[in-house]
Amino acid sequence: MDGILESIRMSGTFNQALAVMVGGLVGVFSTLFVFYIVIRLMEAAGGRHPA
Amino acid sequence: MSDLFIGFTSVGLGEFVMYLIGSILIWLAVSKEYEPMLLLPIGFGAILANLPLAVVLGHDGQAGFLRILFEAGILTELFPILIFIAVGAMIDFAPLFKNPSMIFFGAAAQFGIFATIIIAVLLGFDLKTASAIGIIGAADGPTSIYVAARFARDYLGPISVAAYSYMALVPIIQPPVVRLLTTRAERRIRMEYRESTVPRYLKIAFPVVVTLISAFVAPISAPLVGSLMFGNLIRESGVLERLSQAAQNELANLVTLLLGITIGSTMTADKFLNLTTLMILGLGLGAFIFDTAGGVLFAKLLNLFLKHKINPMIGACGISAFPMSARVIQKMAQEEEKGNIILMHAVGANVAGQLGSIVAGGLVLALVPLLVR
Repeated sequence: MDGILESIRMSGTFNQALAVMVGGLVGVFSTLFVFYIVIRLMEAAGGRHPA
Repeated sequence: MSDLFIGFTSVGLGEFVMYLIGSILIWLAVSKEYEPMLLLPIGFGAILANLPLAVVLGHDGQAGFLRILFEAGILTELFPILIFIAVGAMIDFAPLFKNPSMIFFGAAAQFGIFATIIIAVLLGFDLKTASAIGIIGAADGPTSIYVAARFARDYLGPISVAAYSYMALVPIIQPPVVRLLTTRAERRIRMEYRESTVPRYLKIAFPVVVTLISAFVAPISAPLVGSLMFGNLIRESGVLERLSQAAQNELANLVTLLLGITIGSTMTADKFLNLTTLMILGLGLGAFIFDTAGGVLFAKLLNLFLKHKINPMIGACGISAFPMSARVIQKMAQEEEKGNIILMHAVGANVAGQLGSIVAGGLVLALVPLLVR
């Protein structure tokens, strides 16, 4: 991982921006996916009741 | 003798242009009601900062009151954090809990942040400044201010003005983008909605869990996410009604008032009137457009695989401009076909956008310092 980070640091600003884009989008989707799982698990644990 | 007229001799054309810009912001706030809580203080702060000798910033070696507020509230990042507590106390995650799959639009609509970072870098900005500009796409004023204060303090003024102005202009920015990327048939898709109750423990546990997860994923985001979720926990606990009301009202109003005028004080003629400001304003608009496009195209992508299609306009609601974006999309749905109610899905996506924007902001804060030498 350190090697990848170092090579990105040494590459140009555009590659760094691409890395932020990829890392950022993957990170946002992954984190919100975890929140989604948390919501589903909590609802399943308590029972979600249709009105 | 010249000292007698120093008030007149110490300003130039640039300062007068800033008086005009400040006045325009005030007019937009008062006459058009575009985000008046921020644009009016920003506008007046801009006028104050460009008065002769800028005494409000400093004079005779002593810091002026706006400089003191800037150092106390912006440099320390205290003002955005306090605003986050207030915003958290105003957020109701119930529409998202009732429709959890909308959360992914809150992720997709952050695309504009990252697309804008790329374009800003191509235009010659360094990565930190490009990231501060890109975060305008979070459509979240406090997040934009927080990141700009860290990465691009010199551009805090134009970034804040862009963020709040474009948030107010969502009803103008989003519809053309949505129409361009969708067909009439797609815009007329109806979505079924089933009402459900949300368990109270979920509303209470969620802010705690989100804080923990976000802090492990990106520790630097802990102040952002933690303060937002603290405000939300106060609201949802059900036992702190006074604190919740104080956060939503007194805290929100007081800090907004001071934050706005302090941001305005950064808009001195020498810093604001340059090509960079124009580029930031243009890139900020691009960020909102890419946000909208990202959400809509994500919905269209999902529709390739889904049996029960999603109205792709919902994707546009994944930005943090709550509840304006949801209202805009519901209005568009009604215009396309009377009786097409997609509001609850739109609100769910819009609430998800509030989550997505702070997660995206936290990730930008974490990733950029890792990559910049």
